Amino acid sequence: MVKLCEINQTAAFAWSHDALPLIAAGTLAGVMDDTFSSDSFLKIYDPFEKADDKRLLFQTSADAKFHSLAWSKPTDTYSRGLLAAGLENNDIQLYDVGKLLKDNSTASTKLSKHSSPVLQVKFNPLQQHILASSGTKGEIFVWDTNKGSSFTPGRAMSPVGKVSSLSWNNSVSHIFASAGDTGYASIWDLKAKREVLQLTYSGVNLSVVDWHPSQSTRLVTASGSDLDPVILTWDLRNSSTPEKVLKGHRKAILSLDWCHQDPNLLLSSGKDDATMLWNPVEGKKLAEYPSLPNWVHQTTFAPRLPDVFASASLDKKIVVQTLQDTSPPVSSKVGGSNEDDFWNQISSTDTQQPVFQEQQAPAWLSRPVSATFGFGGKIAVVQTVDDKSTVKVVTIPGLETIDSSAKALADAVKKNDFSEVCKIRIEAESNFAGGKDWTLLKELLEKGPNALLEDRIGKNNDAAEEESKNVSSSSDDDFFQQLGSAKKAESVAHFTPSGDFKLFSGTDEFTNKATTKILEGQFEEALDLCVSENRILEALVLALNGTDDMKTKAKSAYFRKYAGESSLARLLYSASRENVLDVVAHGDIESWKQIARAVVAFKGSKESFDFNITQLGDRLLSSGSRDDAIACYIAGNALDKVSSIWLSELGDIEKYYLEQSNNDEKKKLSASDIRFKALGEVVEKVFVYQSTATSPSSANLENLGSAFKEYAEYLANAGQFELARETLGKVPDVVPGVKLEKERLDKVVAKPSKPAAAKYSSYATPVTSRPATFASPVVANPVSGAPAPSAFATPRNPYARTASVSGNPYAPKTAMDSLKSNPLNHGIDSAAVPPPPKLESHVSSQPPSVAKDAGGWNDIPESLGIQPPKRGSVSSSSVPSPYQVQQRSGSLRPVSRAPSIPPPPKSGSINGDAVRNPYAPSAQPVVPPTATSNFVPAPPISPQQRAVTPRAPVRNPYAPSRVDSQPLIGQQFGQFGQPLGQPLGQPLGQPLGQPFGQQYGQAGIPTPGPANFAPPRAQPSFDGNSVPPPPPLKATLPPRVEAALPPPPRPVAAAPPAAVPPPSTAPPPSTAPPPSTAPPPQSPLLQQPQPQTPISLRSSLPDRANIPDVAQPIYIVLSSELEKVKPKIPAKFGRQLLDAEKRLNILFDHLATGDLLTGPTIESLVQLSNALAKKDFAGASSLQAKISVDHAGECGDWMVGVKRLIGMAKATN
Amino acid sequence: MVTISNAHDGLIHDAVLDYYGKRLATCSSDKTIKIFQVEGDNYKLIDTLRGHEGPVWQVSWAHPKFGVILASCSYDGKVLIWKEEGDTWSNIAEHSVHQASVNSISWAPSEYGALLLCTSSDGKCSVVEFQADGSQKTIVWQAHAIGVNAGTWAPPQKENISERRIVTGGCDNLVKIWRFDAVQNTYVEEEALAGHTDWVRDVAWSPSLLSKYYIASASQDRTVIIWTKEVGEKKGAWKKQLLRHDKFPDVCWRASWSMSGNVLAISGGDNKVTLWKENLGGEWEEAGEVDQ
Repeated sequence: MVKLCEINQTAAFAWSHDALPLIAAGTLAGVMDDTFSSDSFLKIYDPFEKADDKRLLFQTSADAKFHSLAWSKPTDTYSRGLLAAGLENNDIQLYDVGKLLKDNSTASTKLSKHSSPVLQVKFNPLQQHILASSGTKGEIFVWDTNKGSSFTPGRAMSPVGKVSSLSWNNSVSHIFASAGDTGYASIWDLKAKREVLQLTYSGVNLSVVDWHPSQSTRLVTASGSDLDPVILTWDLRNSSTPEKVLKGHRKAILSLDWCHQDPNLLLSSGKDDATMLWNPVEGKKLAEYPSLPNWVHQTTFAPRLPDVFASASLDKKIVVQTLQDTSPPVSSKVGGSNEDDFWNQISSTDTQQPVFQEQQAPAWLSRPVSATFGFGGKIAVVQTVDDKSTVKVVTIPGLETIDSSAKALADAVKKNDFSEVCKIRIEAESNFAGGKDWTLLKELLEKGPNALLEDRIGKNNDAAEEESKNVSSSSDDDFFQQLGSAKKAESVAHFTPSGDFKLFSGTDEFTNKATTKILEGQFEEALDLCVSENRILEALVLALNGTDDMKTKAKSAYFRKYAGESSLARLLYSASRENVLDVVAHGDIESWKQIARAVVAFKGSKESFDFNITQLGDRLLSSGSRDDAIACYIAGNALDKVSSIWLSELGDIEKYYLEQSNNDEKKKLSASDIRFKALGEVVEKVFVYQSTATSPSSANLENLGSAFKEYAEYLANAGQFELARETLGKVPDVVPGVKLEKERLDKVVAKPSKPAAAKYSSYATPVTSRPATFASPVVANPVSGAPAPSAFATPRNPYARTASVSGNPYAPKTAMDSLKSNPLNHGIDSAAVPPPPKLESHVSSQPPSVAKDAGGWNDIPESLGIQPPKRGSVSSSSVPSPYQVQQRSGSLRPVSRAPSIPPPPKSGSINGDAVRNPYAPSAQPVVPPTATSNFVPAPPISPQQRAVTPRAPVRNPYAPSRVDSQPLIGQQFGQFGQPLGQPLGQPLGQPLGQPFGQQYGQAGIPTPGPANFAPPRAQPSFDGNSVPPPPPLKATLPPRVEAALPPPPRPVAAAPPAAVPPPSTAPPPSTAPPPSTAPPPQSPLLQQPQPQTPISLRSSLPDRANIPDVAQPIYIVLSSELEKVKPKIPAKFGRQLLDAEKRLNILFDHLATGDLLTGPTIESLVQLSNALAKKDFAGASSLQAKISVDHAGECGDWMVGVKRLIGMAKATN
Repeated sequence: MVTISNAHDGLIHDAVLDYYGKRLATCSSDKTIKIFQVEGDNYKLIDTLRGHEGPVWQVSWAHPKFGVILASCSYDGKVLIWKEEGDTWSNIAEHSVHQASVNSISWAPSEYGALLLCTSSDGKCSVVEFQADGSQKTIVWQAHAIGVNAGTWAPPQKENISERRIVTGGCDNLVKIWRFDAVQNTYVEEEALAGHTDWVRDVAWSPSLLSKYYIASASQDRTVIIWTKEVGEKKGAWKKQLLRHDKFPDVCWRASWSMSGNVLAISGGDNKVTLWKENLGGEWEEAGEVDQ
C-alpha cells in the first residue's frame, strides 16, 4: 500500500472536488471512542501535506456528532464548495468552506426538518445546490440549498424504514436511489414524485446503493447482512435479477463507491474490516487492501483524483492511500541475513501491501489516441474507435513557403543553373542589407569573380587613364604628378659632360670626402657616406651601378627618410618590393579601387592575391562599404568571409520579412516561416556563390554550418529530402550533428538519394570496375585500347579513374560504350573538345595569363572549357600512376597544372617532338610526342635511351593531361594531317592506351626511321603504357577525334613544318621547349610565387634534343637514374623526388639551350653521370661536390637536384 | 500513408517513429510492444516485445548514437530498455523505482548522454542515466503531489548546455519546470504554472530555437495552453495563452511539436488530430487536420 497519510479520527468524511482534494471529517455519531467524549468536531485536512502537523487546516466544534458529510463542487456562490453535514441532532449543517478556510469563521446554516438523526446527505451531481437527506424514520428530503427550501420525493411504494444510503443518478438529475434496513433498494423519480422501483434479491438486505457513473439505468447495491455479504450490479431495464454478484466480503458491506472516472472500478468496505476493489462490470475482484483494525464504515475515491481513496475505520483512522502499489513485496524489502536484522527491519517497514488479484489499469491512464511527429514531416497517429485502435503514419504536407522557395533552389541545384534563382530574388526586390547581392551574384554567375571585381574597380588600363584624369583631385595627387614628371624626365636629352670642372670644392666637407672615395673607387664607402649625410639622391645614383647590397642600402635610406611623409615614397616602397601588403593594409581606404587595382597588378601567387584582396575586403567592411567588401571577398575566394557577412544579416532579413508581410500573411505565416525564408535567402546566396567558386573544396563553412543545418531541417521536415541533403552536403561533418543528419537523410531518402550515390559511385566505381573492363583488352585486344592496365592496376587509387577518363576520348567505341552510363563520360567528351582558342592564347604565351593560371589548378577548366577542376587534377595524377607508386599523389598537383601550359609547347614543339622523339614511330610520334614533348624530349640518338624508356613516365607528371594535349594534336592532324600520314591514326590511338607490352611488341612495326622514331618507345614517354597498335586504332579513332576536335588554332601552322623535319632527322633539332615548361607550372602550384620563371622559360623552351652530344650522357643517365629511383622512393618523399626532378629538368634545359654550363662543367657532369651509371655513388658525390666548388657560378638550383638524385640513387640501390 | 489495423489485442496508447522515420514502435494494453518497418505505404512487423506485466503506455526511441534502443513504460511501474542487436530485440535493462504506473518516458537530448526521464502516478519523476559500463545512476524526486502524467526535456541551450530543464504535467493540474542542480544532484522546481482546471495530460517543449521557449500543455480540461517565455528572462516570466479560445470538443490527450517546432499537433479524445501554427500576430491558427 502506498499510504499517503493517516488521519487519526473516527469520523464521517467527505472529499473536496479540488484538484488536490481536502478531506473534511466530522466526529462519527453512534460510536464511542476510548475517551468516551461526547465532543464533536469538524476538521478539514490536507492529506497531501507531508508534515503531520500542518495537515490539519481547519477545526471547529459542532453541535452534534456526524452521521455523514457531503462536499459540493465549487459553485459561483461557494468557490470552494458547500459542506453539508448530517447530524445526530436531526439537523443538517451547511458550511461555506471558502469562509471556513479563509476567515476561520464557523458561520454555518442549519437546515432543520428531520425529526430524527440525519443519516445521509448527498449533493446532486448535476445540480450542485440540490441536496438530498435521509433519516431514520424513512424521512427523505430534497433541499434547495440556495433557498433553504425542501420537499419530499413523493409517495413511497411501501412503508419506509431507516434510510442509510442515498445516491443520485449521475445522468438524470431527478432520479435517485435509497436503501436502508428495509431489505430493498428504492428508485425515486422526483418528477413523478414517487418511488418508481424497488430492487430485491432473494432476501438479502440491500443496505447500500450507488449509481453507475454514467449509465443511467445501472446501479450497484450491497448487502448489509453478515450472512450474505454480496455486491450486486443491476440494470434497471431488467430489475428482476442482478447482472453480477460480487462475492468476497466476509461480513456486511457498509460502503460502496463506483468510480466516476472508470466504471470498471468499484470500491467497497465493510464490517470485515476490509476494503476491496472490484471490476463490477466483469464481476471480478481486483484487489484487497490491507485491513484496518475495525469496521471500515466508509470508503471513497477522491472524486477528481481516483488514484487516491480514503477509508475510514471505527478504530480512529482514516487512511488515505493510492489505488495502485507496485512496490516490491515485503519479503524482498525485508531481507535481513539473521533473525535480529529481520525483526529490526520489519518493524520499520510498512509491511502492509494490497493484494492484487489482477492488475487492471484504470481507464484514466489509458490514452486512446496519440499523435507524435517523426522525422520528415511524418506523424504517427493512434485512433481508437469502439475500443479498437488503429495506427497510421501520415505525411503532413510541407508548409507553403517551404514548398515554393525551396523548389526554385532544388531545380537550380538539379540543373546546376542558378540564374533562375537570382532572377527570382532580384525580382523580389528585397530591400534589406544584402538584398542587392543578388544583382552581384547574377553578375558573378555571368562573368566570374574577377570580372566582377574589375567591373567595380575598372580595368587596369582604363584605370590608369581615368586616374590620370582625376589626378588633381585625388589624394594620390603627388604620386601621379610626380609620376608624370618622371616620365618627362625620361624624355630629357641625355646628359653629356662638357667643359672642365673642379674636383674638390673648398668648403663642403661632404663633397670632398665623397669625391675622394669615388675617385678611389670606393663606391660602397661613398654610398655609406651619402647615406649617413642624408644625401639620398647621391646615394641612389651611386647605387644604380652598384651591387644589390648597395641598392638595398640606398633604397632603405630613401624610404627611411621619405616614406613617413610622402605617400609616393610609401608607394614606391611597396612597388620596389613588388608587394602590395603595405598598400592594402594601410592605404587610404577611400582609394580602395586603386588599391584593388594594385592588388590585381601585383597579383603574385593566387594565395597572395586572395590574401590581399580579402584583406582589402576586411578594411572595406570595417569602413562600412559592405557591398564593395563582398566584391573583394568574392574575388579573393573568401567564402567564409562572404558567408559570415550574409549570416550576420540573417536577423535583419528576418526582421525585414516580418515587417514586409501584410495582414493576410501575418495571419498565415508563422515565425518559423519567416525564419525559413530568411535562412533560404542566405543559403541560396551561398549556393549560388559556391556554384561559381573556383575552389571546390568548400571554404570554411563551419560558421554557416548551423544555419545550413537549420535550413536543411526545415526542408527535411517538409519532406524536401534531396535538397536538404544537398544543403547539408555543404556543411563539413565537424559541425555538431551534421554527420548524423546526413546519414539520416541518406537513409531516409534511400531512393532519392540514389542519384547522389550514383554521383559518387561514378567516381568510385570506375576505380574498381575499370580494371576489369580494361584489363582484358590489354591482353586480348589491343584495340579496345583502354589505357594501360597498369594505370588501373591500382583500383584503390581514387585518381586512377581519371586516367581512364583522359584515355576515353580516344577510346574505341567499345570502351566508351561500357562507360556510357557513367556520368564521367560527359566530362570526357567535353574534355575532348577543348576550345582551341584558349589553348592558343596560352601558347601565345601571355605572361599574365600564365601567372593567373599559376594561381591555382582550378583554372584548368578554363582551358578545357568544361572539365571540372577536380577531374582535371585527378586525371593528371593518373598519368604517373602507371609507373610510379600511386601514392605519389604529392605530385598530382603540379601535374594538374600542366594541362593549361602544355598546349603551347605542343604547337611549337610538335615538329620537335616528332623529331627528337627517338622512339616515336614516325607516325605515332606526333601524338605522344606532343603530349610528351613538353617534358620528354626523348634523347633521340642514343640506343641507351631506349633502354631508358621508363624515363618517359617521369615526365608524365608534367605531361599535360592527355586530354587536352591530344585534341590539339588531333587538330593538327585534322588540318595538316597528312604530314604524318598513317601515323596520324596511330597517335590518336595511342593515347587510347595500349598496353605497354603491345607497344613494345609493335615497336618498330609501323615505322621505318629507327633512329629518331623508334616508334614504340616514344609513347611510353607520353602515355606510358598506352600505346595501342596503330592500325586498328586508326580505324576507330580518327573519326572520333575529328568530331571531337574543334577548329584548329594557329599553333598548327607551326606544327606542320616541324612535323616534317622530324622524319628525316634523327636527333633533333628542334625546339622542343616543353620540358622546361613543366617545372614552372609546378611552381605556381606549389605555391611558390615565381611566375616569371615560367614566363621566361616559356619564350625559349628548350628541347632535350638540343642537348649537345657531349652532354647527352648527362641527360640520359640522370634521367634514367631518376626513373629507376622513382618507384622505390617512399611516398612520403614524393615531394623531394618531385623537387629533384624539377631541378634536373632545369639542368637539362640549361644543357639544351647551352646558356649556362661551360665545357668543363659539362665534362665533370658527364663523369659524374658515368659514375652514377656504374653505381659509384661515392665517386658521383665527390664529383658533385667538386663541381659545386669549382664551378660555383654555374651551379644553380639544378645542382641540388643532382645531389639529391645521387642520394636517392644510393639509398634505393 | 500507412494504416495498421489490429496491430494489438488491446488499445494502443502510443506510436512513435524512430530517428529516421523508418520504424514505428507501438505499445498497447495487451502488454506488448511492436516494432514495424514502415516504407511508403507498406509496413512490416519486425518484432513483438514482451516483458511488461501491464499496459504499456509509452515508448521512446533513444538517439541512434546509443544504438537501436527503445524504452517503454508501463502500468506495472517499470521501465524496460530494449535493444536490437543483429536482428534480435532483447530487454537489456529495467528501471523500477516507481511505486505506481509509469506514465511517460522521454530520452534527454543526446548531448546530455543516455538519460531517460520517467514520470509516474506515484507523483515522482526519475531520471536514469545509462552509463557506458552498463550501470545506472538514478535521480528520483517528488514532482507533483500525485500522478505525473507527462514529462519531457527542454532542447539544449546552445550557450549553456549544462543547463538542463524538464517540464512535467500532473494530476494536480500543474505544469512544472525543473532545472537540474548539479550541486544537489537533483532537479529543483523552477516554476509551477497553474492554468489548467483538470489533469495535464501531456506537455511538449518545442525544439525550436527561436528567441522564445514554447511549451504546450494538453489537458483533460479540453484546453491546450501555450506557455512562452523569452529566452534569458528570469523566473516567473512565463506567459500563458490558450491555443484555442473555446474548448476542444474532447479531452486533449497529446501534444507534439514538429521537428522544427513550427507546427503543433494536438490529438483529442474525439480521434481528431489538429495542427496549429502561430502566426506573426502571435495568434495560434489551426493549420489543418490530419487524415481528414
